[in-house]
Amino acid sequence: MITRIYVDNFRCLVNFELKLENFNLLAGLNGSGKSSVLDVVDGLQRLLSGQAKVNDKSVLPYASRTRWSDRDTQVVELHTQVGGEEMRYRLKVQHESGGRRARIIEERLAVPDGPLFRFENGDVQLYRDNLSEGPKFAAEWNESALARVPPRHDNQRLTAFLELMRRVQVCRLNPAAFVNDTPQESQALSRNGENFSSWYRHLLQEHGDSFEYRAVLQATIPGFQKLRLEKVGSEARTLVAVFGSGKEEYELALEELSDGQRALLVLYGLLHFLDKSGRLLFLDEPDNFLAASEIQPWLLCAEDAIGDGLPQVVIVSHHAEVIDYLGGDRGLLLEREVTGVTKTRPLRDVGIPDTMKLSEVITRGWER
Amino acid sequence: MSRRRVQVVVLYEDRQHATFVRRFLIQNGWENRQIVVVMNPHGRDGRGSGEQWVREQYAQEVRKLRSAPHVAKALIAVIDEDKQGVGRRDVQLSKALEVANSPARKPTEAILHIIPARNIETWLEYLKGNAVDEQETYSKFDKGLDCRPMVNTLKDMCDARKLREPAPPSLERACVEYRTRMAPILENR
Repeated sequence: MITRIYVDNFRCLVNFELKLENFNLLAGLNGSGKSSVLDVVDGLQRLLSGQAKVNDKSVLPYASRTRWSDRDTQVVELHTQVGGEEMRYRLKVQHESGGRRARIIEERLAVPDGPLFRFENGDVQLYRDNLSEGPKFAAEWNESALARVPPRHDNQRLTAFLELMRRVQVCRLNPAAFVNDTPQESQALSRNGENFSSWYRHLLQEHGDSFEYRAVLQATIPGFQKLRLEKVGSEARTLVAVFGSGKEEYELALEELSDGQRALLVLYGLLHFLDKSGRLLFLDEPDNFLAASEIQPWLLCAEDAIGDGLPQVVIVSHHAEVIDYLGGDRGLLLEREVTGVTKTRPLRDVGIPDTMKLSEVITRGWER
Repeated sequence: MSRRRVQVVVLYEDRQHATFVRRFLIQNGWENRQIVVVMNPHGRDGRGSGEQWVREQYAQEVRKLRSAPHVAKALIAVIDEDKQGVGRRDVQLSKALEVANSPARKPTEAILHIIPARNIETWLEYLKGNAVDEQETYSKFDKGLDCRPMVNTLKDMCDARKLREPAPPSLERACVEYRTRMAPILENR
């Protein structure tokens, strides 16, 4: 899991540090930097999967520099726990004036007792698992050289880090964008969930039909029976939800479900299909489309999934149900100081009178 | 039935309590969707008085429970005895009702006081198979969810209607609370 995130010169995140556990809530006012934290994590996931270059819009584009500081370098650091071992990743990026180009001027991966990878001045120095020096070679400046290192018998620690980062799943669901049709399977759920049909098709192939998944949806969505992929071409399928029972059955296309129902399909899918996959879930306002009464059951299910092997769930939320359930011991409050810089502190440090719930303190702005 | 109707309210002092009690309820036939947890934001290690917050919320939750008898079935308050004398927390909870001008709980009313002594870790140590002393402090679990095998052990003991001797007296009292106030609800469902 990711235990520490450090960011400097990314939007409102200046010399910003966040320490994480396996289940956390990020809370704070609008514009306090919560989603920016998730954007950094998502960008690193793309960079370290080799899907994106460093100045791509989704990673560290020129426009993402902190506006008022006018510095041209950005730094991101991650501390992770991989198989019980702490690993530290550092990325330093320099933008050319006007944003014409960006280049990685430093990329490092280390364990506490030594380096595993170092990229500086255009050269990569690899280290073996026993920390002895390995090959040295030149690499591109605008993409992660670490992501290009192929797995070998003597770099299993480095490979484990890359695998961890490739298992990061950042989501900000937009159910209105979901589409019925799936031309082919997709191994990854897109950030807004629009390709849910294709991802579900992949899950069916990988895991088969899940009784638990169907049961939890039946308990949650009135009249729901099951999901079904209907053939609409040689390869194409369309996802429909079956409702009712026996002769009374009827079907609705995915796009005919409500936004909340679509969100529930994804949110429970993430927990039921990914709990054994080692995924790290970073979810931006997953409660957005849910009925208030459905939020705590999902949180309880998430907590159980963590016990069953899901390594990490980090939630951004403003919802009282989430704040009251997670805020006391897992809540981190992000706040913008007068300088515009974001700082964090434990949410429970806001001062909670015995007569009030934590969400009431936040809702009323009565934080100390 | 997919509309969520909460039947059991559980008021906790700490997430370890939450995990333990919720797991026990699920083992005994309740579902997540029938349970709502009210979490003490201070925790046991937090700033401020966690047990005082629980007592304050307890009186409110008793009123809420009694106002919705068509749905709400039970309230479970979980709070460590800590260094208080035996029965002190129980008295404090009852006093909280008195202060709030709420009637005292009736002998079989489904309002449970679950009060581990010295704290929940004492029970977990016992359920691991070790001898325990309620005056001692036992170490906390790194991960709260690691208590699940111990809940299974407790469930087995409950089904056999016998705790392993010698059992912590606070756990024996909790079993009596569950048997007299909660078990009848399940039997009548």
